Amino acid sequence: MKLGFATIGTLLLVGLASGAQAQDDSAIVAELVRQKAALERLERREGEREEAEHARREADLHLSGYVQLDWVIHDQASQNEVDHSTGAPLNRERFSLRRGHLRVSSERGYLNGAFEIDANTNNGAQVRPINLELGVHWPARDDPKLPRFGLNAGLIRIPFGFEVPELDAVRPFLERSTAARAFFPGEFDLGACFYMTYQFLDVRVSVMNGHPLGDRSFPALAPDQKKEIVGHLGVRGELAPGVLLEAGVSSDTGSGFHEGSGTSKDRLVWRDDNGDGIVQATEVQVIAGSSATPSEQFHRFALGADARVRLRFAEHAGFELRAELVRASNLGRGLEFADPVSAGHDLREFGWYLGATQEVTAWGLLGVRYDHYDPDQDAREQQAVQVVPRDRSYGTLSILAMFRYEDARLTLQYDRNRNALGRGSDGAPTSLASDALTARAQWRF
Amino acid sequence: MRGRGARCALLVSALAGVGCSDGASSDPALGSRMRILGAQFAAGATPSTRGGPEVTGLELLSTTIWPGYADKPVRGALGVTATAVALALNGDAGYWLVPAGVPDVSAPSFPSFACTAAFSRVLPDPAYTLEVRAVDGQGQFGPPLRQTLSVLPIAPSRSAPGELVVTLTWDNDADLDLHVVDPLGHEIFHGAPSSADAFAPGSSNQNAGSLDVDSNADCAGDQLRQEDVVWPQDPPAGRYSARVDSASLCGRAAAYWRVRVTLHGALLGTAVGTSLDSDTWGPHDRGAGVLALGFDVP
Repeated sequence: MKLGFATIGTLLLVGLASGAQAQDDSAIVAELVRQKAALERLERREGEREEAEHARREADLHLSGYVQLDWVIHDQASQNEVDHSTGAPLNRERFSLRRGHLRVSSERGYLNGAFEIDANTNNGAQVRPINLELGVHWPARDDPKLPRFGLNAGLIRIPFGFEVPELDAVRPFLERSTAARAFFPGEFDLGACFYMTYQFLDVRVSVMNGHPLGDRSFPALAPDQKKEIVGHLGVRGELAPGVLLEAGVSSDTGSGFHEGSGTSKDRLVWRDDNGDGIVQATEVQVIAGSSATPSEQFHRFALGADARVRLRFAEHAGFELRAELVRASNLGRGLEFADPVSAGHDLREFGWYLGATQEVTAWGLLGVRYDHYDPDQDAREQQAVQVVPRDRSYGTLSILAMFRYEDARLTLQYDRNRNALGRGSDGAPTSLASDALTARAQWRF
Repeated sequence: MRGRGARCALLVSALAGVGCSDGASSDPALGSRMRILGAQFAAGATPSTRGGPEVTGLELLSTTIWPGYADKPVRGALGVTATAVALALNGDAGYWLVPAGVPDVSAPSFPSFACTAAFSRVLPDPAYTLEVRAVDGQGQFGPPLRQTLSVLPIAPSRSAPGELVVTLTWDNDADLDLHVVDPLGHEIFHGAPSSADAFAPGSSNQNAGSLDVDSNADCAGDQLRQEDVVWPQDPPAGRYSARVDSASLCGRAAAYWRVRVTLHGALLGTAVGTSLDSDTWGPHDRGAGVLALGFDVP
């Protein structure tokens, strides 16, 4: 019986053991199945994450641009002639591609960048880079509770005043005011810009070459080592419901460049004074050559103030008033090149504008602006036996009517120009007639 | 001009009721028979009123002009109240305004004026009348001073008959220089423009060779592209040599030149050549340049 119990016990144990083995196997299988499912879920998530990342990166590359087509319907200064010194046509009544911008920009984390090209036919067909910048900023995402800091470098907008950095596709008037075009031709220069924005405050400081894209002497180049420092301190805020104020002050300090000359040889000039076609000793003149002269640098600066008020009490009936003034010395680089070395004195310059626009329903806008620019407030000239002050200022009254539809605009602008480039019958400077009527079609995408 | 003004007025009144500027004309008036370089062109005839100052003096040096004459000096003195002077050639569609300048030593009490007149390549009439009127600060025109200008059918030759002329011409704005060495060893070029004996007292220029102009000097393009060494009379007999020195090609890849020698109006010889960048290397003084041709004068 003892054996019998032992045998039964052994059999029971074996049976129990085999039952436990079977349970272990099924547990392992179940675990494997669970793990496989988890792995598949992980792989699926990873795939989705990668797809999302790819899609996000795709979305980060932002493509935008605009096209401006001009038709100068009438220009009093237009001539069916050619400027023989430059070979440029003097006819201004024409169709032209004023600006065609294509911009690719991206912002990823703390980094941002942009590349913008401009195609135009202003002086023949040309395609050129107009904005190329790389930058870092903090925080990565805008947070109204935090200030935003950034540093951009490359071919960047000059942060002076309100009108210079304003986008061409946004500005209601066809072109910037005369003073802005004279002081900051081309609006873009090579350099680096630090900025800080926080709530109502906007601070920008740039270190730049000082020779913008539209510079008359060395566009986008740097003949001297000194850099231009440009800054703008701006504030903005809603004074009352529907009343928005933006205002700021700007400064620019740097150095200009007077180009020296190489060595020249003596010149012999024959002027047939008596018209007999024969060389006579009295008609031959020796113009002595000269040795080389070194280039010189000169100081230049500008101080500016700008303000813009927007009144919006009803939808599509906004009124905007904008004004800016600039006091400068030796800064003219666009319209006339300010060179105190050649002029013999520092050129005190002054420019300002006052403009207003009024929305007329969702489709229309009317505007008027007057701008003034004096390239040399101390100009003098000889008039008969006296030296008299000479007014060399430019003034333009612009009147515009705009039709808007979604991202498209059709603008008609009349510019009544006043300058001191002509001569009146009394010999004194007077305006050279150059009023113009221009139509512009713009599409922004 | 009338049509343009009407169109402008129409456009502007349609836009904003603002009239076009009645400022000075930007017309360069390249089609005029007379142009005053650097002066303001005004369309139409000068006003008929005569209450302004007088032109007290007019200096032309000669009263002959010819088609294409581009460099005629016109000078004068004006009444004391004058601030400008208007110059017109009869038959032209307008006149030219020149501001008055400081008094000249020849008329120290009166404002002066000085300008350069250029004449059209087409002057069909045998004579023209130059009308000069002074204008005062109120824009009042004074009485006209008129001078008849007789027209030569063609420009007078630079070389009179019976003389020796060595001429260098080339095809672009490069700065080339003519060097001529006479039988006596004098080298005539821009650095020594005459073979007259160093401005010695009593020396005559009539039998000395002279360079007339240093064209395109320092790449200042003057459109002449021609230099002449001229002996007005009795060139020394013997062997001459003419060289062409390439001071600078002024940015051009090459310049094609021609040297021409005439004696008593008859062609004595010609030579042609090409200046390349390598020809501009080295000094450009006496002895410089490549030999164009040698010739003998009996």
